[in-house]
Amino acid sequence: MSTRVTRLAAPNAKVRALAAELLSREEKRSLIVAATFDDAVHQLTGTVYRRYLGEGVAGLSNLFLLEKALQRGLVDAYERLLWALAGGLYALVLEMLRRFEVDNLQVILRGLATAVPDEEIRSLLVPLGRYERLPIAALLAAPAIGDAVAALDGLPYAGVLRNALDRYRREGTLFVIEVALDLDYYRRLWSTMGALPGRDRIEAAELLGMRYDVINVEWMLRYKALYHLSPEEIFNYTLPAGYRVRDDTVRRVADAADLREAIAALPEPYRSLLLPLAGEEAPWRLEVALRHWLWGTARRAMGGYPFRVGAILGFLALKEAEVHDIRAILEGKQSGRGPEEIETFLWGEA
Amino acid sequence: MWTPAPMIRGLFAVLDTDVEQATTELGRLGAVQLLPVEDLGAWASSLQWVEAQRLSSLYEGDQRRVERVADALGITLAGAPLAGAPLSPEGVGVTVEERLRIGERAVEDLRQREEALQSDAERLAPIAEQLALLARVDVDLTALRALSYVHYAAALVPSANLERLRGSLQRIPHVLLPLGRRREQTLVLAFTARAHAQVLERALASAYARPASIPEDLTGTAAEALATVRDRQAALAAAEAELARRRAQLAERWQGELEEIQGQLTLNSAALQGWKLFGTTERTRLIVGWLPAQRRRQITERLRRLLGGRVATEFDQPPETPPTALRNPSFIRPFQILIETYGVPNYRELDPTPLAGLLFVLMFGFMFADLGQGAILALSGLWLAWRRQIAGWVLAACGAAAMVFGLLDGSFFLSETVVPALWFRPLENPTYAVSVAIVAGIIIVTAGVLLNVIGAARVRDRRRLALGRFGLAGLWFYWGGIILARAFLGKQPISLPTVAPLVGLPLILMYLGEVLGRSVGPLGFLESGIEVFDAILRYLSNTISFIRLGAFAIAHAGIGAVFLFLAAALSHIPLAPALILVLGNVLVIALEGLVAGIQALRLNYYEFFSKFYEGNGIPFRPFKLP
Repeated sequence: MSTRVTRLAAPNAKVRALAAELLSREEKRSLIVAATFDDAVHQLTGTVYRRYLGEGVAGLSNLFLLEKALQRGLVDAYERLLWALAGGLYALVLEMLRRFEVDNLQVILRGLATAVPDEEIRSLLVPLGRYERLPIAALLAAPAIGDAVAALDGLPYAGVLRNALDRYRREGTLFVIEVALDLDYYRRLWSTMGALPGRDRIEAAELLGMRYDVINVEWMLRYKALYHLSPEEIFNYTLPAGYRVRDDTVRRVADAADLREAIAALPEPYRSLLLPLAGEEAPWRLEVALRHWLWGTARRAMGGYPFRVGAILGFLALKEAEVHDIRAILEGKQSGRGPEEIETFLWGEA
Repeated sequence: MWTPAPMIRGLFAVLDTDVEQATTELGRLGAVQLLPVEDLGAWASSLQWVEAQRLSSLYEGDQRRVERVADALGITLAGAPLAGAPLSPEGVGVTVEERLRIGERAVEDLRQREEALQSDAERLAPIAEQLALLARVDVDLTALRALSYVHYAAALVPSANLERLRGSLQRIPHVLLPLGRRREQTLVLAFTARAHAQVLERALASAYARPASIPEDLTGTAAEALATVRDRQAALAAAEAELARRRAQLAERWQGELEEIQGQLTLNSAALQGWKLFGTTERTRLIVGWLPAQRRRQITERLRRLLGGRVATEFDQPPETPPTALRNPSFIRPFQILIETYGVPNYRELDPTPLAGLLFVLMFGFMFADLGQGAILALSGLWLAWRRQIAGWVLAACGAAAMVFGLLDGSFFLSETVVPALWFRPLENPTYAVSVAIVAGIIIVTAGVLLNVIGAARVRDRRRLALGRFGLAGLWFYWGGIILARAFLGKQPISLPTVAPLVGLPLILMYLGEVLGRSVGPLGFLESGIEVFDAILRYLSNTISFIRLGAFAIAHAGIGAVFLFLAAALSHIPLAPALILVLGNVLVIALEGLVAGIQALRLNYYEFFSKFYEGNGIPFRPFKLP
């Protein structure tokens, strides 16, 4: 117990300091009720995000640049937290940060497949600073996906992409490459978590498992309702780990006749959470409901006994939700939506 | 010898039919640094020889083609130019093109056949691997393909996906046999009822399984098919060996020819480097370049005689700074590397090579005084010189100096008992060694200042000459300081009336010299003061810096004493003393020789050159043909 306190004291102090920078409810509210998009951006410059927006951004109407700035803020939170971590916990949070690297790689491959100009692809990438590993110039210079995969030699993505390349060439869809990257990433993240010592691993497995549950539920419902994949494909394209969603759940959902039956096959609390929305025509509401639930668990993880891994993972989940919500608010403002409508897109509390 | 050769600019106009001969002659003489024709003035810019520039880039392409053919055949080319061949950049280009095309065709044919073999080998390798795994279960491929009610699949599944694949097949009756692992992949044989074939195939595809690549023409058991594949691999290996023999034959046939082509290209390409700078009119070619004034007559007469008088010449002295051609006698020329490493003198500057060479050798000898080791160095230098290494002469001179000082110091292969000391032994009289070094320093610093005074006089820079920090005022201050230091060390009384004229007055003059050389203003006065203060420190530090001469001489003798002591202490072990003495001498020659060389060089560069030498000249690079 005492060694755990010693080990987690500094990370928790760091988490508390970083958590103090999260937007207060009032700040978030003022963004939601801002009269115009420009007003919302102006409000944002009065928050911690000012340092990422830069001088003179207040007058900018470029949502895209703002979103990039927000992503920088999120990556920065990871980096600042990493300074306070060591050992297995450092490896875990670093691997979580690598999610942005996987996203970047998917953006690049998508850009290459659709012949998007290099500069445009670059502008879509999340800057990872000192944690950047992708050979971006070489990837962008690749004439085809196969050459890009060759440029990744030495990185963990090379092997999995080489396997997926064969199918990509046969089927011509990037879906197979993106799924392969996602599955491989989450497998690696789970295995990094598995290397944590005793109690840390149990706590992390719970929080990370819930996150995996949410991802699996989102994916299963999407595969089922949108892509109409077969049960065996659904099974193979979901994560082999989680907290409450197990293999038999995946099988039941995969075999379900329709969306309602699929939701009914989910374990609690996902079933109660989603069943009322089963008839909704907008499937994104299901995702928002799940993410809002995840936000609640993250917030609970931040409370209570301080020297826990949960607080660290909880903070990262809250930060991610916050960045998502600000983007949703700004997008809502730009497309002229009212505060009530914007609130329906938010993962966190309004 | 003490100044660079006076240069003039020459213009030679020759007929277009004579240009090859004129180029060959100029290349042989090696006395003209070619200039672009545009240097004659704006009017000449329209005279550029565009065709020569085109030919030159063509030659570069041909050179690369030769290298590619040589690489493809595994030939190492000698790279020597074709000696004695006549110049003909235009003609050679055509014949080379024809010959190269034949070589390239032969190489391309070879390459295509090799690629086809390699491709077959790459295709067969995984098949053999997979069959080797299948052979473990003694599976009959023909029987598998003939199954009517059962659907089977042989596939390579990423090992990480295997469990998931197994899970995805739970709803259908199936058999999944992992046969073995190869590089993150597991070869599986999967069976299900024909009715569930699609489910099995979808499951395999979504687990990123790749169908095993066993061609339909392989029949029988896996072991039999494997034997067939092994036979094919052996046939491929035999074909590869045959191609290797063919390559060796081609290499033998082309070695000489490619070397000849390369030699022609190298020679003519060098000529084209000159031609690119030539000017052209309809029937003439204009050659412009710097040449030493004293070779003007020789070059003109040689061209006239060669071309039957068909050459027009014109010489002038343009305002541009000419390149620096050093003109030292052959025994001093090797020491030019000391100067070239620092930077060649500018056209109006003194050439310090003779003095710098002499000082370098003397300083090295003083620090590395040993008759025996010096002889080794001298012999090594002569051997290098015989191998046409110009630095060998410098090493030989250093070795000779070390021998002379070795005699003076009585040192022979570290021992101080073999030869008598004609002057003094540094280890016995270290104070004297340091004193000698300081005196040498004073002489060298004074020489540096005097050379600066002479240089200033040559370019009529009166301020630098009289009031410069390293001019007469500086020299006055330096020697005034030396006199005061002697008086101080000799405990003689020093009074203000003595100090004022010896160092006070020259300091004021130096300050005045600095002020006059700068813009007027408070900053100018301040900067002048700083410069004078810097000069005082430099005179002091530069002189003290020469202590290293004495210190290294003492260290050399000291290290020798240590090895001798060690040898004596281990005299009871057979061969040990001899071994220690040999190793000690080798170590001292290698390490101390290097250190003494570096120190002599730095004393030259920093303490001596800094007084008078700029070294910002443009080296004279005459046009030469290989």
